[in-house]
Amino acid sequence: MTATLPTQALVDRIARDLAPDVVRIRLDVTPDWTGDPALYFRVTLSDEASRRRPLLDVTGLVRAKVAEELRLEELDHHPYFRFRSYSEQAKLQDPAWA
Amino acid sequence: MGIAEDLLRQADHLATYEGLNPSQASLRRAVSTAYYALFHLLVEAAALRWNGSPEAQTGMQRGFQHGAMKSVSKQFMNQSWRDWHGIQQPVPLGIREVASAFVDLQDERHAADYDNHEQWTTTDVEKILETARSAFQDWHSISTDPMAGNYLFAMLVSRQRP
Repeated sequence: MTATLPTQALVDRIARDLAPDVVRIRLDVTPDWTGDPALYFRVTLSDEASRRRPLLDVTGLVRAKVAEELRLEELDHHPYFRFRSYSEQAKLQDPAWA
Repeated sequence: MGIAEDLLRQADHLATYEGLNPSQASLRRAVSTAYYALFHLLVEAAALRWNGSPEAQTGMQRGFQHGAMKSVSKQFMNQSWRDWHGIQQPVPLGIREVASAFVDLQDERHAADYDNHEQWTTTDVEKILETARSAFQDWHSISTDPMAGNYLFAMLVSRQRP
């Protein structure tokens, strides 16, 4: 069975499983800068999680869980993972991350 | 200290020297520099294995192409790699980690240099710098493994390989 494009509802469920380190994950299905199909996962981490080192422990876990549960390897869309802390997003007020 | 280590230190500097409010330009340059640090680490390692003249080593380094290196790195992210005798050889974990980091960092470098849509943050850039630092550590731990030589050589000649 071929994996289908993920929905925000599916991503929300994964984010809940990753709480409290993950505050939310916003999905955007849109072409990347080259025009190729892409999935953007914008992950807001708790301030506590974003201060931990190595940061790769939590970001790697998020990436692996999202990739596995959404079967990203079966999709033609290139996945991009962006991370920021809750405080950084509060300061930037970026609607794509809200 | 080679250019690779210099670039890695410069990437750290670019990400931190402005304190709590780094400019987008500095964050983007930090990401790009982290990628080039790993690129030069691998290219220098290949040149060191070559016993030719210094000018031949320079010429050899210029033979590496970013796209081909990414394509080969994707092959070496797998648990095995088909060698030039057609035999599947196990790829040590450290090389898989370096190959994965190379692919990630090249994607991030492209985003940092060409995608003006994204706002970068310290958290995002720190994650990328950790990826580069970790790849350096992994490389130093497995660089004498015969498969490391295969990885470097495959990246150099991948265009010629059917």
